[in-house]
Amino acid sequence: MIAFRLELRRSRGLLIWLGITLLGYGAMMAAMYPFMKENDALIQGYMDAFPPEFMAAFGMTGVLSDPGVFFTTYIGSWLWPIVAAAAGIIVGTRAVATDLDRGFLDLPLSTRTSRVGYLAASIGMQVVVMAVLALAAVLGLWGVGRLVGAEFELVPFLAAGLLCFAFGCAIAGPATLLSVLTLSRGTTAAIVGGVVTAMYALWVVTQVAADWRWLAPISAWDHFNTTKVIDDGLFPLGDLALFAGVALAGWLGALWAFRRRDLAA
Amino acid sequence: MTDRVIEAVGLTKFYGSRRGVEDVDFTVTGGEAFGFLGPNGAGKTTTIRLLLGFLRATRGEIRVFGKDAFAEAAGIHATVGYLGSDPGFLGELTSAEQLDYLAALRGLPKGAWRPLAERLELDPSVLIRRLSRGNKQKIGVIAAFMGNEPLLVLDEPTSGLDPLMQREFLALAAEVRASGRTMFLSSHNLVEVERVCDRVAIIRDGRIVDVSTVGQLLGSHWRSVNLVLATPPAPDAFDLPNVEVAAMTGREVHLMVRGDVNPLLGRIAAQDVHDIAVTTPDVEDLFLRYYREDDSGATRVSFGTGNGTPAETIEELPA
Repeated sequence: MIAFRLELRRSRGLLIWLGITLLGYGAMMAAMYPFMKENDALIQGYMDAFPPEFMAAFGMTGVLSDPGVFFTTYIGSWLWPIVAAAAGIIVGTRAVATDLDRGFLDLPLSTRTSRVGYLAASIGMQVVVMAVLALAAVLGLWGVGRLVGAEFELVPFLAAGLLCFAFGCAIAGPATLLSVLTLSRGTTAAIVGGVVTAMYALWVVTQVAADWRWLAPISAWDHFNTTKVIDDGLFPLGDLALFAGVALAGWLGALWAFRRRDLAA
Repeated sequence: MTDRVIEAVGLTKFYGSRRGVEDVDFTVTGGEAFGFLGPNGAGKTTTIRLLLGFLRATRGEIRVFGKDAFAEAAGIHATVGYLGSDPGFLGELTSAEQLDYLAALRGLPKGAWRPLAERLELDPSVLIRRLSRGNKQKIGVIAAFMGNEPLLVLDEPTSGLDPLMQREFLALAAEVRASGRTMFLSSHNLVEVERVCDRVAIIRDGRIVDVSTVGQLLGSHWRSVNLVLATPPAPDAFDLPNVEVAAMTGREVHLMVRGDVNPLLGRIAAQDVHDIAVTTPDVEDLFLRYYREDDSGATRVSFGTGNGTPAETIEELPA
């Protein structure tokens, strides 16, 4: 519990600044929603000038004023993946690779706190960080949208937030495992960042090029369809389970590996 | 409690093909202050990390209070106060926050560090990232000493501390010794080891080359004595078995003495002395004895200036 409190205290700055970014950006976009709604036909006409595959690659698969398309366009397809990857790498690598590098890890681990207990506290904090940020991503857009008269339903938005949360955990889990295996924040960041970017690139390619579409399920973006969740009311149980599985595999693997890992500074 | 607080037997650690330590054997008994001397890269920190269970031995073992240091690390840590060689405290916290968290992790009450912070003149309200290296080191010393654990493991504890704080550290260490707690201290500073420790091990290239009492260690090494006399002394004025006249220029005499200094003091007392300077060997001098031995058995001994800089070198022939 003490280790968890310490981790939470250390995450305060990250939560505040990324939370403000998500809330602020979502609020700003939502404030523009009535204008977009009023000019739906005009905007749609402009969007129709682009190939639909190209638009789909960037999350725009319908009318921009549809709540799901709106959320995916401004949050789901770009801001959230960037924030989730940054936060996942920062908090996923902090407890082991970063703290070993800065010489802090020895201090908690030289107390009665076990290795597993210490890392489990960090993992608990990662869950909290992702939950708070996912909530901020949803509530900024939803709250201000409601204030300006948008017909944003809370439950679908929360379901999209849950998918965002799971997506973020699926980055943090493997980042934690890699941090334990490599004991290097830089290597971990490069691998995780590279994989996330490659998945995004693969997703774009599979949307633009029909011949490559069969590869789409390999990309996380194929399972991160917030448009469907909000506009169609589909609860993404399978996608949630997939992300949860990746996150849990990462975290449990990290706990297992950390028990026996040499901690050479 | 076992009398053997730390016991290393054939302790070996390789990082891939690179040797950390090899076949290290030593025992630290209850209430003892044990020094560990060696230059950077000799294996001091590797030994300490093995002792604390941060590393797993390639072969051999190290036991603390009879427990395996790696397999039972968390249990051992409940009995250990530790200061690492370069602790990286969290810059975003104040010293008070950092120390409170560390105290809580060790089951100590909030503010357990305050008396030591006052003694070491640490302002606990300042963010750690704004502290000097010396003040950060104070946090480490406070964290290590604030508990009442029966074993203290200190890796270069006075690194970065100013002379006044080094003296305070020595006082703290003396109190720990007086209370019967056990200390394992790794250091470059021979004066520190001399004042704190009962026994000392010298580690070279990952192997222990000597374990002896501090008195034996110093007694077997040369000290430099520089005299300025009122009149030039007689040529045999310092003719003693354990004294070598390195230079004698008029009224100025440079002597080397090893072992018991009392006979030399008797000879010096017979002179009209204007000035005297005695330099104890620093750790560099000690290392040179172990590092410069050549194939013929001759050893080059360096005499330090006391500030870590060798002042003069002579050839010591094998006995």
